[in-house]
Amino acid sequence: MSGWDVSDADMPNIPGSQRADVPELPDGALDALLTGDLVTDEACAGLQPAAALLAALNAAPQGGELAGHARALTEFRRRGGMPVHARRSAHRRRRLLTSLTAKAAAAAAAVAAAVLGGVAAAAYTGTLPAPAQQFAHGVIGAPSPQPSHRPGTPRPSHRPGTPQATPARTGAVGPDATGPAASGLCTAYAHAKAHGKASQKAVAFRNLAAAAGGAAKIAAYCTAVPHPGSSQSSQPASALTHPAGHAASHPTGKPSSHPTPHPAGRPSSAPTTH
Amino acid sequence: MIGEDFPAVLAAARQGDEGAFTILWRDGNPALLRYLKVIAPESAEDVTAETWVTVVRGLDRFRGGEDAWRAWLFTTARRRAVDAGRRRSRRPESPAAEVGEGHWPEVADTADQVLENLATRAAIAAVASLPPLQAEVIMLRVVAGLDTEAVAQLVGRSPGAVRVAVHRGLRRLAQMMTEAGVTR
Repeated sequence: MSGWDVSDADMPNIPGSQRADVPELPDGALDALLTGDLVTDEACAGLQPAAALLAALNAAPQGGELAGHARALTEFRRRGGMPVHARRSAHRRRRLLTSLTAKAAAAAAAVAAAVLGGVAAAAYTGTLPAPAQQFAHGVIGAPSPQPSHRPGTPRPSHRPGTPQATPARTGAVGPDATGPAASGLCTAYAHAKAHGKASQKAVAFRNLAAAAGGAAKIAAYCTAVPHPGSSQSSQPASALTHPAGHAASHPTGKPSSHPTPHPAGRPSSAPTTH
Repeated sequence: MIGEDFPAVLAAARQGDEGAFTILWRDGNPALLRYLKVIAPESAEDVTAETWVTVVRGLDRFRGGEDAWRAWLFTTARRRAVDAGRRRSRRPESPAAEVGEGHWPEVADTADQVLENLATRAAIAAVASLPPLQAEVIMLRVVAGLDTEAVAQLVGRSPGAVRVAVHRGLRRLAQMMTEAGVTR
């Protein structure tokens, strides 16, 4: 046990054999649950019902979860002592970041639209929101789903990007699901697919599926969206992250020219000590 | 997850760029809050804020990529949660302990948003009902997005023990879902 495990004292673990009857879960089985794939390992097949819960656990940010921004920013402003070398290049950096920030904000807006569009995500998993609601009903006594919200009955009127999906509290403008934000989602997924961990892939996939209107529509969706770098000649952020000639092929997810950015020294299958 | 822009975002944040810091914060804060709602439910919001104070002050010293960044965020959160637990145990009658569960402000939510909020909260509550190690490793693997080795290091267990705990926890969650009548 580590030195700071005081929380374990607050909530005592159930004593007894920790691994007598349950084997280690292969990392791939959790990955499958997170990406919405079927768990193929026979010993883990019983875990499938947990997939909807994990999806809810990992749902995109919700209003209250972004409420502490002002407090954090105040702290950030208060921090002093910017390094000397930093001041010299700060101006150049800021120029890069202006574009970079806009790009990320657009992606964030698309994600917000996707989550507010909820039903699109439901179309992807085939489970939310009604089963989640059913689950909430079972676990915390929330009202059971309304009859009109059956599983697998998406309400197509709430598409991402429609006016009613605009989150007023974030101050974001209506996300343009066909613009740079869409490209960002496609790029994020392509990147996560190539280099990310399964959980990152799952998040990127869910966001993208939500924006595209379903998992099956992703390919067509990403083919259709223009890349933000393709229409403008001068884009510092684009130049920073998409070397020449690379941008056009990126959204389709062919990462052959990417070096693998994983930190060295991590064994792909960890030794087990028990 | 920020992805390939991460190094540039981090560098800019380190130099005081508020937009870059906001990107880091928006990416990390929801996951931190959800994790802390499981391991420190009575003070999740405060501990999340304290975590950012520590992170902001340590920004210049941090080195590494996005995986290392997330590991650092959650290691910091865990330490702050332990600190908060110590403070609470010194003042067991603290009225602040009442704040917590179900305390997220909800503003002008659409019906879908309400459902999704509810689903996420219910999912967090379900995980929080597991034995502590199982609950924590599931949050770290699923919500923090850390790999098994990073989780093992963070909680001070072997990777094998982490995989077993994840498996046990998921079995219970699957069972809960089945009992709640959720079918796929």
